[in-house]
Amino acid sequence: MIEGRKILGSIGLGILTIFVIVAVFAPYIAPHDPHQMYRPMEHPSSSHLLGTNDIGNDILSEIVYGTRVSLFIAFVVSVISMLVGTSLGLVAGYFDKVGFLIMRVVDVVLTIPRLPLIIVIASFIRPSIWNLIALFLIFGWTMPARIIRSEVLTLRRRYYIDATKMIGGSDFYILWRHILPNVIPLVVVQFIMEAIHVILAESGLCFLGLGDPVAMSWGMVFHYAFECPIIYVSDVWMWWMLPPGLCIVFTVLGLTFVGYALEETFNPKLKNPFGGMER
Amino acid sequence: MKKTVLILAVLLCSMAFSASVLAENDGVAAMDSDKTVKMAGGTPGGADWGYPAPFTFYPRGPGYSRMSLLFDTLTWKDADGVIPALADGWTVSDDGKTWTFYLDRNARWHDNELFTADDVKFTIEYMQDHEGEFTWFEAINYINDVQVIDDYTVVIDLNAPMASFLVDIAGNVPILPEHIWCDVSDPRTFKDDDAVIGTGPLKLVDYDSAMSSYQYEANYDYYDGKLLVDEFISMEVGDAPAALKTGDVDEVSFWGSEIIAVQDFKDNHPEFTIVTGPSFWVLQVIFNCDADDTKGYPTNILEFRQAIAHGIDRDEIVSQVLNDGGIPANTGIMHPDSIWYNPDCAVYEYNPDTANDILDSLGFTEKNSEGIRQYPAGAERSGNVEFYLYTTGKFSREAGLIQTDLAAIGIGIYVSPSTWGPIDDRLKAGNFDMVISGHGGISNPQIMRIPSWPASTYQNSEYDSIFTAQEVEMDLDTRKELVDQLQEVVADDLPVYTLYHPYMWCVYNPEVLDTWFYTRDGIGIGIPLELNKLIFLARYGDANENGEISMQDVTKMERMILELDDESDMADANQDDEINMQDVTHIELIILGRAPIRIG
Repeated sequence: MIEGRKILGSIGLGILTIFVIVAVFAPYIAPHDPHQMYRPMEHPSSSHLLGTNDIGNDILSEIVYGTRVSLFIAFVVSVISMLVGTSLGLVAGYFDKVGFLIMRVVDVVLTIPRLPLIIVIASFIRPSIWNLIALFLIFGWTMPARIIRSEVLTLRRRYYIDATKMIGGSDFYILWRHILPNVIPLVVVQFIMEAIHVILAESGLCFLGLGDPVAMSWGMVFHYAFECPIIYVSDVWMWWMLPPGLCIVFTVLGLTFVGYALEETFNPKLKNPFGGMER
Repeated sequence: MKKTVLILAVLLCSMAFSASVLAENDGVAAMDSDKTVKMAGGTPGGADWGYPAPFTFYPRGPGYSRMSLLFDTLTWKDADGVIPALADGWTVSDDGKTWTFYLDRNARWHDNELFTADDVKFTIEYMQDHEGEFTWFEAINYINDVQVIDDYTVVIDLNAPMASFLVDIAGNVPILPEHIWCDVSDPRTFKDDDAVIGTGPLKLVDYDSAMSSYQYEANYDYYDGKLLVDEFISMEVGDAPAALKTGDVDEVSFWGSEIIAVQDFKDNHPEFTIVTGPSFWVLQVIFNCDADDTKGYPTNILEFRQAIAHGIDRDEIVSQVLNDGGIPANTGIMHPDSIWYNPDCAVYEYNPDTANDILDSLGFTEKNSEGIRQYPAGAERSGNVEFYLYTTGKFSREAGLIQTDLAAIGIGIYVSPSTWGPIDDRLKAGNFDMVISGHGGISNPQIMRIPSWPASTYQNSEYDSIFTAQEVEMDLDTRKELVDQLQEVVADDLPVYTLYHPYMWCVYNPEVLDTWFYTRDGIGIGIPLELNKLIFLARYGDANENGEISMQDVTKMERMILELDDESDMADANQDDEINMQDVTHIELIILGRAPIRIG
């Protein structure tokens, strides 16, 4: 059980490392400039391993550069969401009155159906990477804020917190030195959940044609492939539609594996099946 | 025990379900004697073209053509040109101002009321009373007066001779039933079942805006030929080529970049027939030329537009985006295959250096760190020279190339994909800088009335007076010269910068319906689509019933009339060395005792 998790975690980490390397070193890995145009609709060959698309861009190079866009959006959104969500969660859990207000805002935002609203807003704003990021951020902070708050609610009643208070520890000191370190594992898991969500949602928006037409993310490659009139009636889908789809699948899979493994590391109860009973 | 019950329930349900499926299949088999034709109604940007009543269809070609299946006009067009429709024949006075139409005596409205000359008079007066409501009809003020001579003769008197009257008014204005429309005060909101009662070969059964589907049934009492189908459906399909192959639809039209799908049909599926269309369509960049700087700056500066024209690589768009499924457009809008084409319009060589020089000389010299130019100090706008480029999602590839091209000359572009409706609204309101849009009808000079249609931000009184002059010019050569001038003005002034003319194809299953064709000069005022109501009709004049009007048909009729026995050479009534509907009309008029006529 535990070993299985570790193996999966390593596999996930391996997949993610590969994608991160591809994203960082895209200019060295991609065989061509993704904007360079060759003969359109070429089948795979030694010069174009995945052929060319409807306007003659090398599909492999597009996907390599697309890794950058997709991972960048996911990373930025998750980091900012965690920063905001964790801070608010800490404050909300520790100070009751402010917490009440923050949690009501969270309640309101959480009741809004997330993806449909993003689709509606995205169709009205200028499609660009930064606008997409801003859009995801509107919702990204709510779940971590709520989860962190509930954890803080239990942590702040521990004896050692009371002890720290008695010897004159300030609120900030307590939050920073004693509570924050204890919620970090939760934050990491939330980070991964958010990254998965953003990658899927971004691909979905792009697929619907609401993405930035110039920032060629995996979803955009998928979108243009889907627009091609012969995508299903010939073999084209195998080298145009399948690869970006697989990239999305593997990234999400990698993130899920890592999250699964981390859960074990951070949740000691999982180490011993009876661990939970002993207390 | 519970499990057993559950399994039983599932079994029962699945049995019931399969039984209902079987029953449905039986139903389909039973309906096989009825002939249904299904068309993939998706055209770039959508398949919903509004309720197909005369005042509520969406004012673009596909909307008009869906309405025209229900409503007839006085004349119509087939693959060869103008033919009679509600009017059997017509004469025109020597000054070109008085047109007499002899109407069909068998025409009936879908509700079985008789069609008469009063309906024609009523329609024109109704259109005049509600000027601007029928957005497809711009020349209504040319009509001075309509007189009803008898139930089946009507005289239309024009203020001035109109060169294209037979096509642009007689062949364009749907005739309305007086008994229904006389009580309608607000035609734009009239969407009852009665609003779609016409004389056309099809009747509307169902229109579903959300599903973008139009369902029609045959009007078996049609006066002008026998119906070839019982039901016609225009529907949106996700993947048109696949739908055609599986038989979900029977006809699909392709254009431009979809040449790869057409090639696939040509190479691998000989069972389908491919008809190549006239491609009277143009994609263009429309500039906001509003003289008011708060709205039009900087695209209202001619040199600025010229710089953009020099900065866009049209050849690359044609070769890369279209895969050579079209040709770079005439900068004067009219299609090169049209008789109105002016080959001498200004051409803007793709040359970023020229474009950069022009922009520098206009004072747009400062650039930011990304190479985007800055507006000169004191100009109407400040900061980066950046625009939204609105277009339908279908043209996002073109927009992407233009974005790259213009970035090279220091102009920033944000591509904003949308759909036809919102973009047309934006254009009409003048709320834009640059838009990629397009239209058909570029075989008819009428389209030059507003060169940046549907936007009207470009104003040029000299241009307007040339337009009016050609409209009333009856001499073809002089009119052609005027239309040439219009094209030169557009090419020089650049209210729009034309990009390309896409090729068009109609691919169909000939076993279901084998009559698809492209109309000469387009349907109505020039819609380059294949959905002409004539495809549903086996028309009169087909004496040997081979589905085509041939020399044999005409000769046979002529010999009958003239009581000739030999194979004489008399069949070419209008002496153009071709047999066409005009000849048949001529002969028909001889029979009806109304010849000789002058055919427009």
